[in-house]
Amino acid sequence: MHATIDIEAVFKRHVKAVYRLCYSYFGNAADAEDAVQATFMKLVASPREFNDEEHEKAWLLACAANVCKDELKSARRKRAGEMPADVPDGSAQAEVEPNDVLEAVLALPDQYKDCVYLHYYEGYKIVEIAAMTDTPSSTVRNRLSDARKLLRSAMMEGE
Amino acid sequence: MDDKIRAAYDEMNPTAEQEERMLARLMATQAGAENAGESEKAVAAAQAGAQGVSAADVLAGAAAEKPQAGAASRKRRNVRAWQVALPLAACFALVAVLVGVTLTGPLEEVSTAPASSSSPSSAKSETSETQAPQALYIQDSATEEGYAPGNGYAPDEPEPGPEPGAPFNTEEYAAVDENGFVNTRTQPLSTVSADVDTASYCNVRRMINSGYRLEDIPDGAVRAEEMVNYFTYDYAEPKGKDLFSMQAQASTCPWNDDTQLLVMGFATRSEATATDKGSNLVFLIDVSGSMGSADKLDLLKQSFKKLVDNLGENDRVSIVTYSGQEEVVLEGARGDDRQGILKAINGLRASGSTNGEAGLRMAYDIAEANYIEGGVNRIVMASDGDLNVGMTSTSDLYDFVEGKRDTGVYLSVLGFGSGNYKDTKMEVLADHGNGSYHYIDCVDEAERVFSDRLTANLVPFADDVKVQVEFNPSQVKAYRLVGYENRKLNAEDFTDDSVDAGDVGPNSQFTLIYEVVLADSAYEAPEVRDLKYSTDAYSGNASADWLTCDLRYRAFSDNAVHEQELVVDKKNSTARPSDDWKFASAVVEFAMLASDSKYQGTASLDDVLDRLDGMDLSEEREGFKELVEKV
Repeated sequence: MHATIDIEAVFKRHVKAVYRLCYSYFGNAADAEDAVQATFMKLVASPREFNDEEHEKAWLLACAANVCKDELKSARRKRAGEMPADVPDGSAQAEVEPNDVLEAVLALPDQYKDCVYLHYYEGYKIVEIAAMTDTPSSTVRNRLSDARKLLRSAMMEGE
Repeated sequence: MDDKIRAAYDEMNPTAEQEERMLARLMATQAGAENAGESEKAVAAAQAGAQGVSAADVLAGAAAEKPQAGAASRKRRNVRAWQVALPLAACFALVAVLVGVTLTGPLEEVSTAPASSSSPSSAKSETSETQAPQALYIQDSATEEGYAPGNGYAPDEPEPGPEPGAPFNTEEYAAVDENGFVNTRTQPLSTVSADVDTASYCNVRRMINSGYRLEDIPDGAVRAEEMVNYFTYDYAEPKGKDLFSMQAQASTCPWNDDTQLLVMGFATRSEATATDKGSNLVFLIDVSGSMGSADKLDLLKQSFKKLVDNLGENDRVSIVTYSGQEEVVLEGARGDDRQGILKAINGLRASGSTNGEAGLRMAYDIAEANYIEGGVNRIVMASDGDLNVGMTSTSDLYDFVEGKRDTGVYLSVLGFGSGNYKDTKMEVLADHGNGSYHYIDCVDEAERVFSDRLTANLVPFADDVKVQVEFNPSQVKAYRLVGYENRKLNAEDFTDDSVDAGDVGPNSQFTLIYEVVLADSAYEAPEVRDLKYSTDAYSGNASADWLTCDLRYRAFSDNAVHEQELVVDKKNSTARPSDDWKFASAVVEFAMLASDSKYQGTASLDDVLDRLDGMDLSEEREGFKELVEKV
């Protein structure tokens, strides 16, 4: 038997942070929930010891980012192979009050999303993000600055 | 700018309900993951689903193999097939509805993709449902009717998108296969089990009060008979030794001028018949994480306080709670020990998963240990029905509860809450555990169930109550039973006393409604070809009777089977029906609109309100009118 973990407690501690990250990738609750589930199941499948709750959270967030990217990648591959028979058209769109910033965040290229979330919302430093996402610091810095430009111009447009 | 970005992320936070559901799902999957080896089944089911086989078929297949599997493994298998087949059904709908999800933006390109890729992994479970409240197919292999696909909600015809921002919903309702018109020449007999449940009305009321539109209400959540039976009618007292009074009134059907609507009422004596030997009540209370909200555990606590006021010194009260594990909180306390009981109730806290099976087992053990010979022995189970650990399939629960029926312990079910409400499981439990099923949506309803109708709901009086109606083909071309879809019995079951049927308490009523096509009606009854071998079969004789209604039951007092009879003919038909008839017809009409019935004809909400306007309404009926107005 492997080390036991109180997955419920872990879940309650970090679900919000993990969910927000997943949501920022998919932009819809159903897929975000699935990604959250897959993330915590990874921990269930291979339990590990964490130094503290911060460590636990960082691991989960990094894991979630990978889960989301993998899912998007495989979804894209899948879509490339089939005819887009049911691509929804604009007419079916719900009439939501447009929120420019939210839209802009969701519209960011996927490779920027984890950096932006981790930096702007969770407050991680660039070196920390670099370690979490296994990316050179310089790349993280460039991505953040690119993302910042995109967000700013989107907000200007909205105004 | 940083603040704005943070604010944007804040908007992405999951709702409390989502969190709760994700946790429940995680716990269930974790439990499932520990029992490997069943995954091939799940994958097969997923592939079948991807090929367009309906979820119900997949589940039927899984259920058909069940008997060979050991008890332990079949438990898991049902979990898996269920977890996989459900989302597949929902996936089809998801594609179309996704765009209606909380946000707009250039995201649909990305977001539709994962939805259409039906992941075979068991990690994908029911949460990939759409936001639209809708009926899902849960195959209940043990129900003789089965729930045929193709009626009600079809997986490939997605519901229109709901209001943006509507909370996710994993409520489950069995699809209802609405009764159609039946030609009297081939099937003159209509047989049903009595049903005094009222849950459907309260659940529909809860939905409407929380802003559902008529078309948002899952068809499966509407059971016309439970809505009609929620209300009390001015039925006569039984005469002589009869336990029931029987009455019938017919008039022109409000939504179809060519048919007659026949309302038959059955009522038991209203005087109190509570046994002086007391009651042995075991409360089985769900304290799992999913119960931790104001409309669940908090409401439940308030409800039980109402009940405690009505208990006396001869009564014995036990409380068993269950979540991840079961626990006896109180055993055999005297009914007048109000302090002790309330203390135990107030101490309840919600957390963990829901192992309903273990709780049920323990409740039955406690009930048997405190058995009162000749008294009332009843388990009252309170839950949202989201049993996600242990026995989680409806058919297994059915088997278990059915096996316990001989112990003489009755099982009643109280439904609470919304969001993950499992109507299917709750009804199966009550129906097969010799019990009644109520949905508690507010304190007033708790008061009604626990105070006003306590004896009716707790004291056994007449068991296995069945009704058989024989129509006279010379007078009646065809008939349609309104509601009772999952209460229909075979004609042979009526005289077979080993066949279980509904139980009715003292001071109870139930109403049976038929839409009847008379022989001279212009309405075209479904035709059947002439029989080749049986000449003149069921042609009917010259009798002017429309029908004969037989009632059969086992009386609790003498444990013997009794029958009563009521003949209905033209004299029961009137151009000026009673208020009871008008009200019952209004409820049926409303139920037909809510479930989008095929037979709704000219039915309309205005019509319903018009009829309600013309009569004096009791408080309870006034509530119905307000509900219709709200819609």
